[in-house]
Amino acid sequence: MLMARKPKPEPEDRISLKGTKEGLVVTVGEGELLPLMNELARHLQHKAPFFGGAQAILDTGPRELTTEDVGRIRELFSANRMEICAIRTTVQETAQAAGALHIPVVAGSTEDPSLLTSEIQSDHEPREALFVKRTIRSGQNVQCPGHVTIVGDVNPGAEVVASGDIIIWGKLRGTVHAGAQGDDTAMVCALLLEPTQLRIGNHIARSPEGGERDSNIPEIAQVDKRGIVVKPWNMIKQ
Amino acid sequence: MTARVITITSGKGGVGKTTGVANLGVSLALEGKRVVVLDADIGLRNLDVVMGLENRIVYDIVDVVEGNCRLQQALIRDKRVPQLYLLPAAQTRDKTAVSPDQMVDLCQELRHDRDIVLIDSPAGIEQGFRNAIAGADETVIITTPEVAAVRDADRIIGLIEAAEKGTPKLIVNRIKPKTVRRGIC
Repeated sequence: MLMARKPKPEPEDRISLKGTKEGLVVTVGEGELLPLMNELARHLQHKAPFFGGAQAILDTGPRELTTEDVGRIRELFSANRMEICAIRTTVQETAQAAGALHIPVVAGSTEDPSLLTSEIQSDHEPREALFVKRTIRSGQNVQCPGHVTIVGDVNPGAEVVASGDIIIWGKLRGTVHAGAQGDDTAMVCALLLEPTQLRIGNHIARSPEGGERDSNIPEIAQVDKRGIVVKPWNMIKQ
Repeated sequence: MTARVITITSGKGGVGKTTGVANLGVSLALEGKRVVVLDADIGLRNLDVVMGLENRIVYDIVDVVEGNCRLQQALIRDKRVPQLYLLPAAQTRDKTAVSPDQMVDLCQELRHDRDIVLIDSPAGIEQGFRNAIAGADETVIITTPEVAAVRDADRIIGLIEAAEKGTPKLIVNRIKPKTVRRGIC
């Protein structure tokens, strides 16, 4: 008799824990959710002594998860002293579920049209910081109700909005808004500060007309009596 | 007095829609017309860059449609030419952020106290294109003397006629006088 059933994928294939450039990534593969959850629990338990206290990105690929599902997965993580710092998904349903639980969403694969508008959102406690280690390109958008640190460039057409400070270890050529809730004490600094537009609290400024400036030193933008002022980035003097 | 709403479209990309809109907008404004140029290419906006107004964008078309701001707040006045305004597209959203019905309403609102509203359409025949022609009274097709551009222009004419927007006007961009003289193309 022929077996019509497809061979079952090996459990190791369906759940993977990998260290990547972005940090620890836990990938959940295809298959029924319930057995996968059990596998995930086993994996996490097994690796807990090593990864305990770690923050992981949960990659669910094209899987559609409800808020309840995401909540249960999060409980599995916390039971093993781990935390989901972001969910990577290619489907709207899962992104919405993550949003409902205030888990930041990272856009999924390159086939995903939503990458064009990829938003890294974090709705944790105010004044929490978001660390982004990649180039923010035109049409991409980073929003955070706290401080934002970006290691990489912010290209023209990209947008970074934070209610706290924005620190860019790279070239800032896009639009940024620090102190987005109206905090004029927020600051923006970058290794190369040439933003399309720079907003701090309720103030707004543009780079001087006439293209390239000769200044290639790190600079910091803050609000004083005159409005937004840009100075060399020298924290010691402050 | 209400404005004529004219959409510039092409089907094919890179034939000069955005440049055409910017140039037409400036020329009409220099003639004393009250002009609004509207970028309907949500997600891949360029009209603001071509017009050198990118760094003045605070609100965009999606903010207007979603009611985050008033129309007047989103309109950017070009300081070099009197009576020339830009309504920029959003860059961090996509074409589905605006519906054709919303475009019709927006065009009705823009019409008041203006002479010309020029809409820069995205390439393609999908929702972005449908949005761009939804509120138009007239359409202008831009093409270049290349088979692919001419073929796409023909397709667009069919779609515009099907949408009952009348017969479009045609602009042939980048014409090569030599080729015309030889009778090719």
